[in-house]
Amino acid sequence: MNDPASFPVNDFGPAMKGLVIGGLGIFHVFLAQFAIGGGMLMAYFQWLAMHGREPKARLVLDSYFRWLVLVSFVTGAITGVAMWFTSIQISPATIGVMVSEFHWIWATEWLFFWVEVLAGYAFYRYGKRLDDRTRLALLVTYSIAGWGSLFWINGILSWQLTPGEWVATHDLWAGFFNATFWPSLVYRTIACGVIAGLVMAVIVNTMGELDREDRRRLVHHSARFMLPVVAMPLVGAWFLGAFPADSREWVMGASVAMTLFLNLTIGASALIGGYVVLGLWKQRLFINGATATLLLALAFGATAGGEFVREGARKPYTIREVLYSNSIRPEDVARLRVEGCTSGDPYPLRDAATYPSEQLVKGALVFRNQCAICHTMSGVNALEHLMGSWTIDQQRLNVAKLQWTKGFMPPFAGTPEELEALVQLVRWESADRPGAWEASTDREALEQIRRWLDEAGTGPASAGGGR
Amino acid sequence: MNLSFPFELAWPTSGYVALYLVTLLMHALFMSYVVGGALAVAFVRLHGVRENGPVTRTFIDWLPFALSAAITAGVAPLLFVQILYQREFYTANLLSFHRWMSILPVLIGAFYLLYLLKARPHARRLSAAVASAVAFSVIFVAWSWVENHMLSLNPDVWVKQYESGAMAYRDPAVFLRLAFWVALALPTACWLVTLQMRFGASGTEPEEALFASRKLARVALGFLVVAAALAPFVLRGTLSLSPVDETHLDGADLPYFALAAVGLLFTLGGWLRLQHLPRLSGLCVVLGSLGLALTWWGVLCARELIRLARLDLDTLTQRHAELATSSGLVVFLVFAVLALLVTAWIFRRVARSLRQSK
Ligand code: HEM
Repeated sequence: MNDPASFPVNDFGPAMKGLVIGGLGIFHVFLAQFAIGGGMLMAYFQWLAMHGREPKARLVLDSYFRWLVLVSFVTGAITGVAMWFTSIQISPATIGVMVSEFHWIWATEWLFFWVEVLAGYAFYRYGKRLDDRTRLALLVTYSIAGWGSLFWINGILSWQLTPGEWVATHDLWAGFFNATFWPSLVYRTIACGVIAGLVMAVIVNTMGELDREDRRRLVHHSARFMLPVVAMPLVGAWFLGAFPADSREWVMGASVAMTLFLNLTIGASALIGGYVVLGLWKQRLFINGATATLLLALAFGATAGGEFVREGARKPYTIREVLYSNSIRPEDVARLRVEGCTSGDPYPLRDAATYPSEQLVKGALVFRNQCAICHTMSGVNALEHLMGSWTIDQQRLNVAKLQWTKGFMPPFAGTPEELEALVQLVRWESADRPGAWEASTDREALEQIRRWLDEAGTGPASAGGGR
Repeated sequence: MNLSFPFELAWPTSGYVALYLVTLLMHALFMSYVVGGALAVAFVRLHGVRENGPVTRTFIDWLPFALSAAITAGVAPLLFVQILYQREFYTANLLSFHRWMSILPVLIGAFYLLYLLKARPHARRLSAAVASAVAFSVIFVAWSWVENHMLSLNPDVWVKQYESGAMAYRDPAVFLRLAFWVALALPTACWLVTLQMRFGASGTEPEEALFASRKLARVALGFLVVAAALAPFVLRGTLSLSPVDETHLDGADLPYFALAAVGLLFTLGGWLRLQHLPRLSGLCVVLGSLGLALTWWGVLCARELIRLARLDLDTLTQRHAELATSSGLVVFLVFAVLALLVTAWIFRRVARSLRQSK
């Protein structure tokens, strides 16, 4: 459908592309979860107000909803569009496959989004003039629609990690209700509630109309709402258990960064959960604005860690068994090792004139098409830093057996000449880009690279066979 | 392959096109309200008008919602355009890179400025600056969409565009096309705000509404004439780097231009009748609204057929046929009906509760 080189590739400078989409994703997920959980919490507060269980519920609810609209409707909605746009910038092939496979699911999700916005605005605009039952009806509609949109998008996102039977059958529902669908949905639903509850603790502290006792009581109601947080460890374990074995290995120690992020998430969630259950709920502690903000920041950290792990655990794929991170399909690797990954790329290098040889230009094209999605040359996760100090044989061997060098990288998908061009490029960059650079035409080296490529095979590390 | 939509365009392409057009129409109406409203408020403010008349008041009050609705409604055609023209749309996005992505912070900025405007509607200097910044922002966003559309339709320049590193697509017809959309947006916004005022939005009294609507009629009629004059050759790209091949198009767009013209006559009828009535009658409302809907539908359909005439239709239809094997359509249709019902229910329930509270 999409040839790896059929789209122009943009250079994000020293920033790693994964960090760009990941950073935005974290921000968006956090806001979206606030929007969903916020709706549910407001429905709960409306119910409290209607049953006379909390005299200040109505007051706080209207104030909270204003924040929800100003922060989440505006920035949340636009970061949602930004996710589309950034996904296109980072990997048009990936988003292309997702849209092609799941467009009706996405269209359905949009319907829920539409209802969510409509119900939310109706409440925002007219809430104060509406009778209680209408208020509750709007808030419940808003919450169902918000949670519904999570339901649909969750199916698509979890499919990327565990497409399961879909790979063989292309049965949409098998892909949608995949192995990580339910744990991910439950996990996110709990996260929605916790974020919303913590925001409540911040907001009540900004309201001059409330005294200390009011605030304590209101936070206690929110704490009750956040109680499902106690299930987080179990749900987290369920989620991890549903990961593919190799992905689980990455996050459980094989990749230091991912393990660190997982621990950050676990640590932050444990702290929040402990404080909510023991402090806010059981002991009915008062919480001031500063502490509440700190807890919220911790929740952001937990979301960031969780999203990083979820994104990272998919490696070397963006869609498991369908598309590698660099937009190359597993079934195309063998062909590209013969035809080359640069021959079909119609877009020339913009800075071709700055390279002293054709071979280096080719190397830069290989880098652009195969490596640049996760690496920079000298910025974040730079090839220069990772492999610049290796001997030339080490460089050739490790790139030729890329999937065995680190299992979260895809197999190299180009000719030996292209691989050599890439190696020369890294050496040239590591040597500070000298004005002249002799082309390497060593036939023996190319033969050796070919042998190494053959030994490595065209499958990913998870397919086994390299050891 | 025949281009005529909907009857002779192959299925499922025609189905995807229809959904794209229906959702784009929603986007276009809200987008027009935002563009027209922002321009109107900026104009009034820059001319030093101190008091907020009913039109300015209503726009200031409703623009934040309209922007939100324009974006929400924009997401659906954003999905369908990726199904219909994936390669073209993605490539244009990628070629414009930072320039294209910059519409996002601009939109966030515009959003908050609109809330600021709403919170401080009487601060004259501030609101003149804020309204101008909002108008500038939405025109920038509109310009970006126009440029993206035109770039997506001209594969011949893609490689050169990439090589040059230029983020703007310099086609002389971009601004003309932008002028066309603005010219159409203004009368649309005028009509929508007239309807709002008729139903008493933002505290508008009936006499106020009638007086303001008559003034708006002049603006609307003027811009409708401009839009009508620009439409055919702007949409066909006559002056652009990639004019449509008339032999491919084979006049398929003409029925839709005719439909747009009929709509225009209806709208004119609505506005003219308004001049002679003591109040905005139901017939007026129906004439103007139906006219507007027909005009937009005609314009959007013609725009689409002109795009299809530029592309390789056989490859496209084959791709769409492959995509259509993906399941989920039934689920979408069921929830579409439900969403419509819930939308109607929200309107009814809120209106009833508001009536009771009065
Ligand atoms: C105030 C903000 C916006 C304005 C003024 C605006 C304006 C426009 C204009 C003038 C066009 C027609 C382009 C042409 O045919 O030349 C257009 C098309 C479109 N807009 Fe918007 N737009 C806005 C925001 C958005 C947003 C945020 C989205 C997405 C969520 C969106 C989605 C679309 C789509 C999908 C199209 C059709 C593109 C195509 O078919 O090539 N718009 N918009």
